[in-house]
Amino acid sequence: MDPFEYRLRGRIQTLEDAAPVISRTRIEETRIPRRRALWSGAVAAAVAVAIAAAVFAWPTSTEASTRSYALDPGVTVTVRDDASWTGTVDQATAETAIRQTLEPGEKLHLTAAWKVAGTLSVKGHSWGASWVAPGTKPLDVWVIELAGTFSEGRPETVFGVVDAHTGLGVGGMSHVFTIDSLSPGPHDPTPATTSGDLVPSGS
Amino acid sequence: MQSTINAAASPADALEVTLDRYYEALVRRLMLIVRDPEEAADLAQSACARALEQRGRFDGRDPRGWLYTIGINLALNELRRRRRWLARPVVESDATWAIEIDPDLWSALGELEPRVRAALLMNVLDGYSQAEIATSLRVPEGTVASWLVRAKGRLRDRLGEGE
Repeated sequence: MDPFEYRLRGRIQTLEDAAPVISRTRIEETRIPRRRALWSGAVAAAVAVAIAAAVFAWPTSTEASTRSYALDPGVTVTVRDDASWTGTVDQATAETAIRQTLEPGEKLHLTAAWKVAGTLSVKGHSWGASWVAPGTKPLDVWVIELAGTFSEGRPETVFGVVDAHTGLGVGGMSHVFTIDSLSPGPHDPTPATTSGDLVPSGS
Repeated sequence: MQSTINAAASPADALEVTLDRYYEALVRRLMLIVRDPEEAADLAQSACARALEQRGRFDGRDPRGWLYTIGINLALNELRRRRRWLARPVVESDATWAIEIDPDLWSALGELEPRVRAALLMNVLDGYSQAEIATSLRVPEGTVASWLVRAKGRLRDRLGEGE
């Protein structure tokens, strides 16, 4: 280790030692390893089937009903379909938003998308708190289901939320685990038409 | 560089001890990678949960390194996922604590990619070899070598220690 690296180690160590630690007690309280379960293939497949079934069987009447999807263990997204119709999905806008998020080598295709205008409730703090603060906020979004290959070569199915007005991503439902409910629910859930694989913008 | 455990303890027992012993240190390490205390704490907790889930795979060797590897990979995965869906800029948390300690270093570290920063910390602070880092971060060893050379060169320049 040269003198620079030696000094660097000391400086970084000093910085690390001074980093604030926010107390967390839930692990100690529960010891239950279920706080966050990342998207497993089996769960993804099950949810994809459930969503697909819901998409194709969605009622056209205004009769209120509630559907819940277990995205992660302990996490349920509840959607209600008793709100007023807000229009059809603009798939092109959603696809543009998706392309902007892709990294080189990634390839995805849109498997379903539906419009949601309602309220997103988030309980507690989460990794997503930086952009979805705990509490309730009105949203007008598209929920999109994507399947494909990410940069590591791992096939994956994810759900994302895209702001309906700006086209910006506002969070991935599959890993923002403290989303408690999304209501009222999807209006006109629309199976996405096949438009080919999505690749990063500009590639 | 490996931490040691009680040889008489089972791997599962050693893991429990590890979580208690290294939790706060893991939060601090993740803090340097994700640069937000709330997120670092969340990730550390997730790493502990993941470690408990996977306790059957733990062989009892280098428990600290095993926990850190889980935590760092969780952090890097989450940063990647967040970039995917977060076109809006992330507001970095208040870094007063770091600015009071070493503003130049904090700024210079922030200019590195998170995975490069993680590799640098594993190398400089923990003494892991390039091969060990490559295994932990699941990238080729040559990639780690390149990251480290570039990161150290950049820090050397930014911290005013260039030739």
